[in-house]
Amino acid sequence: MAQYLTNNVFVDVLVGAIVVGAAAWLINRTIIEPFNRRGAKVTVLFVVTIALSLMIQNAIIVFFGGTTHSLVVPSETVSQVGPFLFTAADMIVMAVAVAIMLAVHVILRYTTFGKSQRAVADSRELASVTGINMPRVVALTWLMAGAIAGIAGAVIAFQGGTFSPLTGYTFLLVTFAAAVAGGLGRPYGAMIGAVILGLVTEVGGAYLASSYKQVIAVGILVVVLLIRPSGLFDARGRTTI
Amino acid sequence: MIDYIVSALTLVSIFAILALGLNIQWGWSGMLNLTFITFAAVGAYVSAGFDLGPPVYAHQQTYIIQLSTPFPVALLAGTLAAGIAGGIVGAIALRRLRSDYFAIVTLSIGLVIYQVVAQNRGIFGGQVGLFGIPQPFADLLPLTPQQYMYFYLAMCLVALLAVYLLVRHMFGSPFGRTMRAIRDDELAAQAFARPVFWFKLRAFVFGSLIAGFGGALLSHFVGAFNPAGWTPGETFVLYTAIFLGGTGNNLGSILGTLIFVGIISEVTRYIPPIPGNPDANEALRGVVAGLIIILVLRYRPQGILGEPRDNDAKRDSQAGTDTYLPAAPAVAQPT
Repeated sequence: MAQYLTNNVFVDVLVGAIVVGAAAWLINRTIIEPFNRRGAKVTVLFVVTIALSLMIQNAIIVFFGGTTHSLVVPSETVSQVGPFLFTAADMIVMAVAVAIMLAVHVILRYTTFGKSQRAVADSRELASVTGINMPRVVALTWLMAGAIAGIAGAVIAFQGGTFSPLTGYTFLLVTFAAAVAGGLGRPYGAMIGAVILGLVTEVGGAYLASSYKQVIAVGILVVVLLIRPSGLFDARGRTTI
Repeated sequence: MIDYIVSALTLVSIFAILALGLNIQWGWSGMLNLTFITFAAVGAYVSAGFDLGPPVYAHQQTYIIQLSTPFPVALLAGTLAAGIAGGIVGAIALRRLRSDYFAIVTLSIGLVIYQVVAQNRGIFGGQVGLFGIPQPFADLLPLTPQQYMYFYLAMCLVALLAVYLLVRHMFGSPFGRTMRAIRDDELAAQAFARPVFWFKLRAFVFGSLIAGFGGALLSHFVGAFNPAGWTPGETFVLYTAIFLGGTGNNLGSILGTLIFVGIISEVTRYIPPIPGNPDANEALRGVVAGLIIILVLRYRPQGILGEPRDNDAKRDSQAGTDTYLPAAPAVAQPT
């Protein structure tokens, strides 16, 4: 939508980050937190988030229609580095990805919030005992994850030139596959997992039909979950989750 | 008008059968199977393959099996095929997985099956699917098309009653009680020497059998079946019905289906369409489904009827919360 107002991709990305981050924070505040306070089971929370995605996705169809939208992407000049071809859009996508990785690294490693977040991920009880304000950490985590998702969404629309209400769904399991392959709870693993998964699905998709890209990704997801649930790079090897 | 009600009721009774099957997996056993409709699809396709015969329009339609057996044989074949599929998927997904990863794995496997069936015309006709599925018993009974609709509704209602009685019997049986014990506290059930994996697998297969049975009735009711009929959204329709009627309560599954599939979904069809947005009415149903699930879980987790807990010390305990933990802190596992 920001494209209607401006033609600048960085404005798009910024608006995406702010809007989606705020929406995620609001969802946690109004819908998820009451369940957490009541001590709902993980599965129940899981169902709630699925129901939310069902609602939001269909609400978007009701208000904006189910058709594919196109963005006016500036004309593309293709540049070549070795055997690889890049468009300007591809370069921007990669730059954004690297910037986000660096930002996540700095936040997790050097800020108090990042440290508390890792503590909460390890053990909620222990984190609470040491005086970490857990609801606040959880709320900020939603904000952060939402903002990153918003940036990713803006970038996907920009790079592909089109998007539809179903765009998110196609990426959900693929994203999850990347995170699982790299090891859940390990941001660096997730980054490497995403690179590997992207390469495997693109190369596999070139040999099979391109509609099988997603199938390859979720195939990897299932296999990793069953054989190496702690991720491909975990020295501990097989652990049960 | 009366024809419309008969056809809507037939659909409700078929979906109620499916909801009863899913209720065994989710309501009794706490297995969040996000691709339940895939097993209904297996029943729908295989049963159709068993009585569809060789394709009439071979250039439009290709599929496997191509038998011409009577409907009861086809129904049985579809049911068993779904049960076998459930056994295979359950054996893979139930191994060593936490409940939320189990859900992701079912969703993933369902997606793989969906893409493979939808993209390959040779299996079950690809996107075109199967059509011209014969009407059960139509050649034996001298009925007008309208009379036949009543007959099919009666058949589905009898089937629903049979499934309900079977499921009700199992609910109170040692098997049903063990399943609910495993759902509420897997470790405790294990401590009482219950083989958790086998019990879960049996419940998964049992639910899949019912899915295949319902799916076979569905494809023979419509006369055609293709990938548009078993999108992941259909599974959420069933979940909405179960949450609304009362998780774990068999009668609740039927009631929830009647309310959501029979009334709410039908009403959204008649809301005047938004100009230029043909998908709006269908999408509105999705919004309502999501809203119902969230509101029910937030304000009445046990649903309209709630699970019967006559023998419980705490009768007001709610399914879906950890009542055995005093003021349980959020039990979300670190991921």
